[in-house]
Amino acid sequence: MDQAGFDRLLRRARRRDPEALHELVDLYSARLYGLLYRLTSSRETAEDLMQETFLRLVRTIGDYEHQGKFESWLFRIAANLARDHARRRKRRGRAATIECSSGAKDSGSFDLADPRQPDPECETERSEMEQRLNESLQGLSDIDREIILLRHFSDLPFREIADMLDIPLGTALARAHRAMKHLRGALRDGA
Amino acid sequence: MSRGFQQLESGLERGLRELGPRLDAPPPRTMWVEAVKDAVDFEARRWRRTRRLVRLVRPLVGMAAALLVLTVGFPAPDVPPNDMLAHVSADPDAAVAQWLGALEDSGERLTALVDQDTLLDYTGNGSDTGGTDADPLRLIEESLDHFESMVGA
Repeated sequence: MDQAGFDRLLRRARRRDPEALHELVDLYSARLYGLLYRLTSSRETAEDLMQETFLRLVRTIGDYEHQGKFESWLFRIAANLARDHARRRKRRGRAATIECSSGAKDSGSFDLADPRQPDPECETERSEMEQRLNESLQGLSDIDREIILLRHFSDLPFREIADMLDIPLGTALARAHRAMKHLRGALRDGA
Repeated sequence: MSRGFQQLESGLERGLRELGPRLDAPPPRTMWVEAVKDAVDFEARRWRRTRRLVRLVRPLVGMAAALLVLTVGFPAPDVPPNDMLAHVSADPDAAVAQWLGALEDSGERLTALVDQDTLLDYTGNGSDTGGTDADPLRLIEESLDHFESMVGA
């Protein structure tokens, strides 16, 4: 979609036009879900947080002032939600592990009819490589993990990610470098 | 950006491209994406309804206030009788404007309360699937229609 078309889409979304909002869900759900899945290591939590991200979009898009930074704004909402979730989890003393869909729901999720069913992909998710990747991601500090995953799942350059996280560009790059080294090492050692 | 940063950044981009396929996640389930769209629709309808309510009520509150002022007049003593009224202007026009401002402010607070209440209903009990849980919102919608036809809006 070209910039003019995207601007029109955002104007319609600001009027809460349902089709425009659906289009935004179609455009961003896969990448937002990917980010949230890798940040939380849980399919169900990622789905709940993805929904919450879009609900916040509907509630607050009127406050968003379009300066070509919509993606940054949207991914920031998702990253903040994931951070809040991790904080609540830590308070409850639960470690993040790969979770598969078993119909169980986290508390605080919306009371939608829950379409989640046991998932045949679960076994794949539990594969050794996946487990190792998950463990190495969880071994990173929250901010290092966010930088790497935001860069991978969004189209945002490091400069915008640094702005989003309110850190200098040099710090963001150094943290990303350290995180990358850690991930590579962990994945290579296990190979 | 300094040359050092540029080199570091391009090295990182290269590394991420290599690592990329491993970081990719499975896509969200189609059923769940559809559920998200339903939830988004519900939230958008709620937003539009609240906005419509505000648009309807705000001028009516103003009109009612003006009518009240015209009917009973507005007491504007030369000297405020106590400290609580010290901020009220002795100028009747300014005092009316101040009063109308306060009315508008209370209207906005009322809207925020309505907004919160509907939100609680949604998150607490709600289903956006059009079942019985959506009835309170449908009733609000119907009462708005009725009200609009009464005032000829």
